[in-house]
Amino acid sequence: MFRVLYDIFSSVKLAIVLLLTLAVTSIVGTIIEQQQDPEKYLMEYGETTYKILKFLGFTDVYHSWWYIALLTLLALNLIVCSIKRLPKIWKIAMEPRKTLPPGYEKSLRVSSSITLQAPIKEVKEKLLEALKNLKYKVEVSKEDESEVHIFADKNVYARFGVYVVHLGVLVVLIGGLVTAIFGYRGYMNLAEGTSSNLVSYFSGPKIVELPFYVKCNKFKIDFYPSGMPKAYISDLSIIENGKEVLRKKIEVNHPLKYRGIYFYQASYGQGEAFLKIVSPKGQEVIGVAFGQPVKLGKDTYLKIVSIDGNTMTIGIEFIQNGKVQEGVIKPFVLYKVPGTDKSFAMVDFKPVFYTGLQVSKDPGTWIVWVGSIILIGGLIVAFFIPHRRVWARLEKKGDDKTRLVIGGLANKGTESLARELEEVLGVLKSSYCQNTPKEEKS
Amino acid sequence: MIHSVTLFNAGMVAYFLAFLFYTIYTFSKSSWSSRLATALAWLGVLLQGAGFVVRGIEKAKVNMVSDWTAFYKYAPFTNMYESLMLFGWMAVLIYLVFEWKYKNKAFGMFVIPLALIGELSTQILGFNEEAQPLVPALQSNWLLFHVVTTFIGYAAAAVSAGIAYAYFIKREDTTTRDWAVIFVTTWFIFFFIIYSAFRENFVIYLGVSAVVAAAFCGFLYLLKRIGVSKILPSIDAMEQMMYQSVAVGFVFLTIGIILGAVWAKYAWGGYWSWDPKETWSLITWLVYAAYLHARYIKGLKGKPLAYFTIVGFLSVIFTYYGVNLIIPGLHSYAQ
Repeated sequence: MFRVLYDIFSSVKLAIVLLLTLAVTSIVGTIIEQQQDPEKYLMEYGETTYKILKFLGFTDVYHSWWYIALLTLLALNLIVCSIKRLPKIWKIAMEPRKTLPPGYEKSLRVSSSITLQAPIKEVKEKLLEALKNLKYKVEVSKEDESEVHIFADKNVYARFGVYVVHLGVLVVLIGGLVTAIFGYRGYMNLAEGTSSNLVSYFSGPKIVELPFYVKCNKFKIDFYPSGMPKAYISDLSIIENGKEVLRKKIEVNHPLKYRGIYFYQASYGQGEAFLKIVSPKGQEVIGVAFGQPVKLGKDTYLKIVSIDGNTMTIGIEFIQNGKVQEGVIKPFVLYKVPGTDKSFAMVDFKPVFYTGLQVSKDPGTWIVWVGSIILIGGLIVAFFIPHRRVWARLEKKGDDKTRLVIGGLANKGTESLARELEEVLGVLKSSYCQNTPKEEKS
Repeated sequence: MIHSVTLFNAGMVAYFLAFLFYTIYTFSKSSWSSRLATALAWLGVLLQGAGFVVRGIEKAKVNMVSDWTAFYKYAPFTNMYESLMLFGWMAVLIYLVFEWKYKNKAFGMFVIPLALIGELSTQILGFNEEAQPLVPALQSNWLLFHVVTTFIGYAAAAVSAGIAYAYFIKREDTTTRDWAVIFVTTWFIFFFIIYSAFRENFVIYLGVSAVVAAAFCGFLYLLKRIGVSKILPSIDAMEQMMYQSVAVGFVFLTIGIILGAVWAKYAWGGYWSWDPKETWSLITWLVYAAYLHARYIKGLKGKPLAYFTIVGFLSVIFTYYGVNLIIPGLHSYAQ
């Protein structure tokens, strides 16, 4: 059983199937809008189709169980494949045959031989030097009176480029996993002069309470003469334990970072509501931007989302214990908050601008960057750096005559290797071939 | 100061002349026309290269930045006109590098017109050629690096597809079924390009692109009949070149996607948002990754390799055009 699984997961064919399946299924999420409200889908597709889409996970493809399963299978495949092949490659790379017995040159991609007018020792030294000049690591693998064998190679590490790439992909996937588990993305709407510590999730009704407050001191928009917006700028302060600990102007592309949480300039809108909150201890009036929650009790929040000036009705969202209720209220009417001893009323409204901040915490990011660097480095090595090996055999053909057989292999770019070998031969020829050289090419 | 559009147009004229001389060289083998063709192609690259710098300065001006050294920050790759210029420029540049490396000029006749069609399509499809100011999300130091690396990837994919087409001309055993497949894939490519520009009259443009694709295939067939295959490199060499340009494309696409993720971290609040363009670049990446593995296990040789190359390019075209204009998302700056 284990054996069968091991065989399946060590196959490159599985990798190809998984990669293509991921490619095809990813298309779905670009055709059907993802993570929208059920109402939107119902309107567009109708009830039956929506139910089918929902069942198949097509409304949130990239977080569906089968997409994650595909990614997990790919990761497993990657690991098992690498484990299976690494020893083989290690052997090829680190423990090659280092001699060139007669006849073996025929198995090499590039090879040639030449007879030179010089003693074997001299040719050996010259050849070693020529190879060293081309940055080869050289080794005399066998030497006796009549024969010398030389092995040389360079960029042996290039053989492992592929594994580095795979490692990079794995690290990126791990980073993605960390993001999915520990990260969140939400928003905060802040009218000028207001502050809050509540972040609403983009997906779902969840609300996070930050251990500090963010205050918007000022928000402005710069325009081009054509009327097109040039910059959105929010002047923000971080307030911790009642004290301002950081102040920064943020723009698109220039977020504020505090305690691993990023605040981005994302949008803006109009509308600040003033709520009177009455509790047995007394009452207070607070200003809050549309869409920004106000905490009324444990796990109990209220958002003002819209105002209809004609009918004087106010749209609200009431969020309690993770459940959202939408409704409308009338101004100045005091409403009791269920489950608490508080009541609230909307007492004023100002059509001022608020800044829309995107808030995100993502401890997976740096893991993804590390994986990316590994991935790029691996790709460059794997695709552009060739591992080249050269074997040579020198045969004594008399006191002053030596036959040289030289050949090589490259895991990529055989032509360039051939050019290098020609260069080496050129050096030897110019030194030891005053007469017309007798050259055999194969 | 000279206008950037003038420089781009002058570059196109140089490409066109280069194409003429590459064609003359192909049929006459005269060495002066081959040298002239290469010189003209380089001239075009230089002119358009200068065009990008001038364009950057112009854009800095529209963005009300007077410091000219800021031109790289206002890198001129932010609308369809500019990005198509960059695409054509990159394709010619990569071709010239290949020409220099392989000492073979047989592909000039295929790649230069592809680049030229890309650039000319800005006129036909009516993309605005004026330098426009940048919306806030695009004002970033990452813009230049993200766009340039991505486009090297795109252009390398285009070069590989060009070689794939030439490959079918070269092969003796190209059947009617092969031609049918070539026609259908080319049809898709032209359809994405043309439809994305108009976004209406689906059926009409489906027809128009079928005609264009048929004309393209007819042209390829004609080349085959008049014996162009003789001047093309060997089948093995072409497979090697196809693979190498895919490899270059894959590496740069990867770098482009990662730089995009870095930028997204600052602009959109996270390195990955499953925006349609991001997703399609991932799809393209997956297709090419599958290609590289298929080649590794040696199952992929000959015609399937060429098909795979064209499908990869089809995916690139969709990432580039289709997504930009058909599916709305965070990335749709280039409307």
